[in-house]
Amino acid sequence: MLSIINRLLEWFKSLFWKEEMELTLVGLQHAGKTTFVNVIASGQFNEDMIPTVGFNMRKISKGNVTIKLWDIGGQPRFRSMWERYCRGVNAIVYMVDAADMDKVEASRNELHNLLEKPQLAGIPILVLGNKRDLPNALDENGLIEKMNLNAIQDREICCYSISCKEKDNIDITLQWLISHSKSGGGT
Amino acid sequence: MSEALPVQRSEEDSSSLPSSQFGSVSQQALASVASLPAPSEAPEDLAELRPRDHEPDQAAEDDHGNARGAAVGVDDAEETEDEEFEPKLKYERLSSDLKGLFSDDRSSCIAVHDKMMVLGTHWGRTHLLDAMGHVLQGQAVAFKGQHAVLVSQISVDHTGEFVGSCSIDGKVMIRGLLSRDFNHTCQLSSSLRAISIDPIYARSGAGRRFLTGDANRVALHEKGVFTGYSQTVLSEGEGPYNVIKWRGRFAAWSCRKGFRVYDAVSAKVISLIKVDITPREDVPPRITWSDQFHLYVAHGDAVRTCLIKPRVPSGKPPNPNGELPDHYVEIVSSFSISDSWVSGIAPLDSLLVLLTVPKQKTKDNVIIKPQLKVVEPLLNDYVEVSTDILSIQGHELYGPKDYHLESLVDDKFYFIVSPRDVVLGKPRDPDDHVDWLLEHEKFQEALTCAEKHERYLRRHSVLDVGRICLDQLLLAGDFDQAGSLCVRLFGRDRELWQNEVYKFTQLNNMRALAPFLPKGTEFRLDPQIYEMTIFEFIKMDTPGLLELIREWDSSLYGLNAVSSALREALLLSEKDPYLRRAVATIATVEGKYNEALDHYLRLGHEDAFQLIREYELFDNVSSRVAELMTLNDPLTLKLLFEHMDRLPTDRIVANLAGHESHLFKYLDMVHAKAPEEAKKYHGTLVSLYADYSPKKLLPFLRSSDSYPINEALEICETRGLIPERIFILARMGNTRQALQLITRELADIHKAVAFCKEHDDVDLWKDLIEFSLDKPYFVNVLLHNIGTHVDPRILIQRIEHGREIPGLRNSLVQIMHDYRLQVSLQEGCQRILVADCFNLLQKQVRVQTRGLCLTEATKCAGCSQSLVGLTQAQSQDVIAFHCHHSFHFQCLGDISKCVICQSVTPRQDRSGSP
Repeated sequence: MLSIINRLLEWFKSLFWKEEMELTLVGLQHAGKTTFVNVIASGQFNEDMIPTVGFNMRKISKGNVTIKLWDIGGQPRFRSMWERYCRGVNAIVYMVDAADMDKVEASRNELHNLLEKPQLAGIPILVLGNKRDLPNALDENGLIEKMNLNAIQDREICCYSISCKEKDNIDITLQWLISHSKSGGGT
Repeated sequence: MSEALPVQRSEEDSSSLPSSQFGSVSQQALASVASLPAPSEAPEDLAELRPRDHEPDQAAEDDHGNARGAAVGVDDAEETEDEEFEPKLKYERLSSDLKGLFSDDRSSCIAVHDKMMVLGTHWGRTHLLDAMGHVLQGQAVAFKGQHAVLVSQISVDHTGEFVGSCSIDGKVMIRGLLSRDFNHTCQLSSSLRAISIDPIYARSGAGRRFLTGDANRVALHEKGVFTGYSQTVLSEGEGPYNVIKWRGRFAAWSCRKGFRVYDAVSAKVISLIKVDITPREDVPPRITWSDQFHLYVAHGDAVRTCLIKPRVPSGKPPNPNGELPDHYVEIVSSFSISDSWVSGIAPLDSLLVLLTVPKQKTKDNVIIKPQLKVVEPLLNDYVEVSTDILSIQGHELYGPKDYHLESLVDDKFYFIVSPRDVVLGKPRDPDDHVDWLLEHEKFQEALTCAEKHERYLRRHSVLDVGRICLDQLLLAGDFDQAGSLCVRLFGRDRELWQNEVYKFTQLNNMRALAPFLPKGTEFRLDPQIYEMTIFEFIKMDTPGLLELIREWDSSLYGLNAVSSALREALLLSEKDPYLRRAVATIATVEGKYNEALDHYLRLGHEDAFQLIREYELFDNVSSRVAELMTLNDPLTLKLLFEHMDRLPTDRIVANLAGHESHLFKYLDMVHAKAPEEAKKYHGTLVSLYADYSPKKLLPFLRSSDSYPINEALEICETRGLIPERIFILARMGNTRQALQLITRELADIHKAVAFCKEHDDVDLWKDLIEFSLDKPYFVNVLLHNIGTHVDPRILIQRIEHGREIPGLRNSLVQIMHDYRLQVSLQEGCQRILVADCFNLLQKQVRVQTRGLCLTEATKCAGCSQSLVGLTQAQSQDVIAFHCHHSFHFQCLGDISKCVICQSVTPRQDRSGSP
């Protein structure tokens, strides 16, 4: 009975408060996309993750916002479908392994390739430099430079340096994301 | 069987894996087309996907894998006969994950969503795939549960979060991918075949509806707020209901009579799309929506495209007659494919894509391969745009109902599902178009296309296509085109240029490229390239070489290398004028003007003059003036005249010694244009004129006075120039000899007369008369002319008696006439003179008799005192002469004449009478 009342309350709440948003999470393999999803969904950090095949679809509720999250595989064979999954979302989250200098350039190229697609024009993008807990990881400024983010002028862009392991800056990332829900949210 | 399934090529690019192309086939004859690229690991796949001809023997040829590009032209003979159409679509196999699925199972149905696919199988499994056909592992947790038997239809909601499926045992499963909250499972009739869930299945208040169809009825299932599911029957008795598709507010299902359209908002069946076909187990009905108003249905060989329209245009009040539904269905096109069963239908812009299986079987009763037709639907007919024959593995076993065609309308993706295969048909991108053009040897078009779509090219680049094009042109020997193409392609990229240039060198055809090589000051290639070009020209084309040497800036190439190569070549072929001129040009560039001039003179080429002018080689000119004159005298003369200050006459004359005719031309020119300069050489000129231009001699003799006259006379004598001799003789004062010449040598009496008139010397006349006496004609002429100069009597008296002179009478009359004329002239003159004298005398008298005025101011011409005193006492006598000189009487004394002018008659005047 209590559960029924709870659900009823939830339902009422959802009638007035619920915000929905859809995000797509892309980036090269092993950048920590699925880990990030797990961290914001359940706060759990798991070092050993299986590489994502295809995509994971998740729905996460944060306060009154429901986030539908497409977490797309980062291996080269999946990259051609990134664009498909990025269409029509409220924001694209681009994950970069800030500690893997060898892949930064590839990552930059993939990002710029993706943003060139006419279907994705104007969609805000959040670039996350993950693994800031590791030594030699790039900070925000390093990322902006290495990823040539200044060249992206046609849309809203933001860059944070985070650590899923230490749960660093996860809160500001979420804040940014929620503020980009359908109504510009965050009320 | 499994070995023929796709193999994953690499991690890097599985999307384009075993990709292959299906040839398009003309409508008259189905010609198979050569295939393209295939990764060598999977030759069987390629063969499977390659389009085939109807002839089975063709298969053998197609079956061995071909390396990239090598297969071009395999079916040349057929291609040339039929005009080829580029296929509309290209095909690729979906992810290799599917291979695993099909190893022990077969697909039975598929649902395609923007971001995923759900595949149902004969064993009752439902597989969640991503957009490229990768089996999603991670999602399996949420997507649990399986059917036990063949899955007959799968339906995905609009959000892609809910999947409904049904199996032929009557089990319905609706599962959420994200949560199990709205999952629903139920057991319905075992004849259940169709399911379609509401596109807004999970939206709050939408009631989680879904439609099911079995042999007898179509039912709508809906969940109440607090209650369980309830069923409403929408249609009954027209079964079997084999397929249902729900899009937006409308749903369509197949029935015995055709297709029904249901409006979910007004909860009414609004239309029946009739298809007259005898129900058959093996030909399935197919339904596709492109949006909620555009419906495409096919059953058997019949195809309908439909448009759902509001009965009342929006904005007006709804139809008061509540009986009629708000919307109706308009059949836009309705036709049948006569020779095939349709087992899939989808829109492609205004065209239709049909997956068809030919009705006819081969002689051995084997089912022929399915085809993908692109057709343009007309009202009651269709036009075939292209037909691709699909090589589906095991097609002999599959009938129309085993195939499915699902599409993503916006992307124009067509998923062709057969029991063991999923092939994706995609619109051809510029890369594919370029591929096709290259394959069909339309290289120029390929290049144009590549240039036009440069930004969209992924596999190709303008440069690569250009290179192929270039190679082709070189192969075809069209070097000019190839050259201009180089400019178009390489622009200012030194490396590209230098990489391609070697192709021309290998073909010994740098010559064709020469005009196109970059030669600007700011961008040029290595000097070796220009040198190579020049060397080739030396060997093969010396006229071209000359042009090149003249045109190209010498800084482009190594001057030393080129000049020594040229000189060597010249040694071998001394007589090549072009080569020599080229050497001369190079020598000029090197500053070896003498050498250059040498070459030009040896060639007798007029460029010598330009060279002289340009580099002011006047020292050379004076020493080689004779050669230059021989080469071209007008030009030389012009040059000599224009630069007379730098080319003194003396030197030129000295250098021309021995070349009389040149000397003549030169001096003649100098005489004409700068007479002062020539004065010194008038003597020489006389003989030169006498030799080379006798006509000019006489005027020259007349105008000049600086030639030695005796020499001149001698020259004229030796050359027998009589008029000139006459002139010289006359000039020397030897008029008699001159006259003799005229009369004796020329025997020209008129000239003689004129000569005599000119010199007007009586002796001359006499000589002439003497000479003429025995020549009656001469006499006659003389008689005519002589009258005004000498007394004609002299002549007449001397005429011998008895000599007959023609026209003598007339001549005499003439003389007389002349004489009389002269007399009357003299008389007239006399009268005039007399009258004048008288008039003048009268005038003098009149003047002298005028009065004379003497005043105080008048002075005595003798003492210079005033003549007239103021008083009587002072007055003296005054004498005034007619000459107006006046004197005091005393001053004059006893002289009776004017002392000044000796005038005699004084005017008698007394003093006191002023």
